[in-house]
Amino acid sequence: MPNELLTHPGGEFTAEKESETPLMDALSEGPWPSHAKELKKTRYPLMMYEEGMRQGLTQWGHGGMSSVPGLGSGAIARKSRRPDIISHSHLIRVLGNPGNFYTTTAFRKICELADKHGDSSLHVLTTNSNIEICGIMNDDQMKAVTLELNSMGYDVGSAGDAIRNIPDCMGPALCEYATMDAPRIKHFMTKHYIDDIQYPRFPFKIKTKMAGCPNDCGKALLHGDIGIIGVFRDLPKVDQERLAEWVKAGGNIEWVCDHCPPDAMKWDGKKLEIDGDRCVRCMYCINRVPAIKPGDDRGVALTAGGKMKGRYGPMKGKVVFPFVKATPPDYRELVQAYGKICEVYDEHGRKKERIGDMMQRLGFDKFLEYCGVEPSTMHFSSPRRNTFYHWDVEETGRAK
Amino acid sequence: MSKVGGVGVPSVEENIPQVILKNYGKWDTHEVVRPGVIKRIAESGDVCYTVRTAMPPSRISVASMLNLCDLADRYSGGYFRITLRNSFEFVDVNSQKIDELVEEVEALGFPVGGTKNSLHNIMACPSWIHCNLPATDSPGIAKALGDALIEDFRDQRLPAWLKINIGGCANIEEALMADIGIIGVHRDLPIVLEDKIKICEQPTVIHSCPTGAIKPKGKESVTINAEKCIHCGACTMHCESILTGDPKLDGFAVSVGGKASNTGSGPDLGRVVIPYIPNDPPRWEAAVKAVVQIMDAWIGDAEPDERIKEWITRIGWDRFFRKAGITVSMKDIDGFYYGNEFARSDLRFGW
Repeated sequence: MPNELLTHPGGEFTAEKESETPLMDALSEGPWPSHAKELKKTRYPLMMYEEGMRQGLTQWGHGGMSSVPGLGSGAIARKSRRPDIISHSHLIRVLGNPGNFYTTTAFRKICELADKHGDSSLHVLTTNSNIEICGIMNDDQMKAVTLELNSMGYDVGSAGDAIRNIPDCMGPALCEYATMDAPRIKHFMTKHYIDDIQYPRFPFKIKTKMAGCPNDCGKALLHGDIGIIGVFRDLPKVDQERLAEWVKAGGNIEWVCDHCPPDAMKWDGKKLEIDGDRCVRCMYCINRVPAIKPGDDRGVALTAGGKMKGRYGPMKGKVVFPFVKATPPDYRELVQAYGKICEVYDEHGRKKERIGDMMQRLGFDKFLEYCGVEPSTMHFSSPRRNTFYHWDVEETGRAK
Repeated sequence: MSKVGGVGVPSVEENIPQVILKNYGKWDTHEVVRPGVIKRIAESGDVCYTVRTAMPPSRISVASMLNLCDLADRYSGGYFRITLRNSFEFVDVNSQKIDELVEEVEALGFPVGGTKNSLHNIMACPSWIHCNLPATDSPGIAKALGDALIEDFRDQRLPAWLKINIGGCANIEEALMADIGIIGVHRDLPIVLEDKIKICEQPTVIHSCPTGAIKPKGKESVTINAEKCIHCGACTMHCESILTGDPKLDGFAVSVGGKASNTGSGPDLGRVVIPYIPNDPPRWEAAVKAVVQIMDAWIGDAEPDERIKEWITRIGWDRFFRKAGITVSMKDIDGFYYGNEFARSDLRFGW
C-alpha cells in the first residue's frame, strides 16, 4: 500500500500485503471514518485485530493499571494472548484539557510523542476525556513521554483506584446555557486533587464528571461516581420584549408552552408567565427560546453513585448536595462537598466496591449522615414506604 | 532523578481563541447554519463558527490527526476541540471559508454533521483492538452503523437527537446512556486457569461476584457455579487467571431510551430490549438491522422533537415492542437485584 497519507516520518505500514487483512479491509470501506483504515496507517500489530475478527475473540490478555516509573498511575498495561504477534502493548493516559480545547501546536507535540514512543496511534478521547498514547513498549519510554508531556504543561494519570480525569463540557467558553464555569473548575480541581489522580488510594476508581447545566451533556448524573452539575434556584429569566420579537419572527411559543414538561408556562399573546410552583428548572424552554435564560442564583449540585459495572449493576447517580456555591478562586464549598464524599468512600468503601454499591450497602440515609448533609426534599423522588428506620439510643432515650 | 507528574492540566486561557476569551460567559444564542456548522453569537455581537466532524471509532492514527491539525491551522487559527462525543470540532472558523473547509475535511474522509436532530457521533470502546474483556467488537459495529446511517449524520432529518453508544462488555458505561446502545454479552462460563490462579487475590475474586457463584476450592483455587453465573465479567477483571469469551457464544444486546438531559421525563438509563444477537464480523449486518428497525419505528411514530425515551414514555412499552417488531422474551424481564421494581404493578395495559 502506498504511504503517501503518512505525513510524519518514522511510521510504516505493518501489513506487507493488502490481502493479509481481508476483514479489516472490509471495515475500511464506506463513508464513515474507519478505525481499520486508521490502524493501517500506524505500527499497530494489525494481525491482533484481524485475528480477533477472524476468531470472534479478542487476542489481548489481561491488563490493568500500571505505574509510570516515579509516578503512581497514568499507564495501562496490556498483555497479549498471542506472543507470536506481539508480547504486550502499554498505553499512557494524558489528562484532557479543560473544555477539551486544544491548540494544534500542543497537539502536534502529542502526536510527535505518539509517533516516537508509541505505535503512532491515538485514542482521542476515552469515555473519561483522556487522550491515550497507545503502543508504548517499555518503562523508559513511558517515563520519557511523561517528562516531555510535563514540560509542555500536560500530565498523565487517571488509571487505577484513583480519582480519574474530570471530563467537563465547554461551559461558558462557548455555551450560553452554562450555569457554572466547568472548564475553570476542572482546571482548579485537577491541580487541587493531582496527588489523588496520580496516586491511587481509594477502594476503587472515582469517576468524576462535570456538566455546566441541567442539560447534562457530560452525563454527570448517569455515570459519574461523583457528578458535578451546574444548577440555578430562581426562575428562568424571560426577556419579554425579545420574546415578542422572536414570536413575531416566527417562533412558536405556544408549542413550547404545550410541551413544557411540568406545564409551568402560560402565554397570553403578549406576555409569558412562568409558574414558580410548577417550574422544575429542567432547561426545556431555555433550550428552545433565546429570550429565556437561566436564573441568576447559580451554583452546583453534587450527585454520587452513578455507574455501570459493579456488584449491583447499572445505577443512576443520586443527589447528595442539591446546591452549593461555586465561587472562584478557591471554590471552597464545592471542594469541601466533593472532599466529603471522597472521604466517606475512603473510610467506608470495601475493596473494589464503587460508590454506588457502597451507598446501596450502607443505605442512602446512612450515607447522607456520614456526608454530614441536612436531609431535604431534594434528596428523594418520594419519601419512604416502610417504617423500618434505625433509631439511635440518643434519639429515643431507651437503655442500651 | 527528575520529578514526574504533579503538573495538572493546561489553563483554559492558553487553549482558546481570542474571540472566546473576550466573550467568555457572555454567549447569547446559537444557530446551526448547515448540518455540522454551528454559529455562536455573543452578547457583544461577535460570532464564532464551529465545524464538527465524525471521528473513527476508538483509534485514530497520528497521520490523520496531523492532517486535521493542518486544516485547523489553515482554517481556524490552530484551535479545535474534541466534543464529549469525541467529534472533532474546528473552533472559530473564518466565516468566509466554511464551505471550503467542509469540502476539504470531507475529502479527507471525515463527514461533517452531527448537530441537532441528526445522528451524533457514534461512541465506541476499543474492544478487540486493545482489551481482554469484550464480548463483541464495538469499533466494528460503530463503523458498520456509521456507514449505514451516514445520511442521518449529514442531514438533520430525524425527529430529534439520536445518540448511539457501543460498549464491548457490560462494564462500558456509555452504552446504556444513549438513545440506542449496544452492549457486549458473554454467555460462557468463565474458565479458571488452575495452574495460575494462585497469583490472584482470591478474597477479591470471590467477593467481586455479585451472585456468590465463586467459591474457594482448596487453598489455592476457586470454582464457579454455572447455575449462578450471570456472565458479568467482574471476576475476569480482577484476576488474570480467569478468562471469559467464547466465539460461538458471545454476542451483544441492544438497549434503548437512555438520556441524560433533565428535560422531558428526566434523565434515565436505557433498557435492554433485545437480549442477545450473535456476533457477525466484519460488517455486522444483524446489529445494523436491529438499530435500523428501532429507528424506523421511532421515525415513523415520533412527534417532532421527541427523543426515543420520550417517545416510549408517551406510547408505553407495550406499543414500543409492537411498533418496533421486537418479540419479548423472558430475558427482557429483570430478575437481578431490584429488578422486581420494573415489574408491572398496574393494569394500564396498552392492548
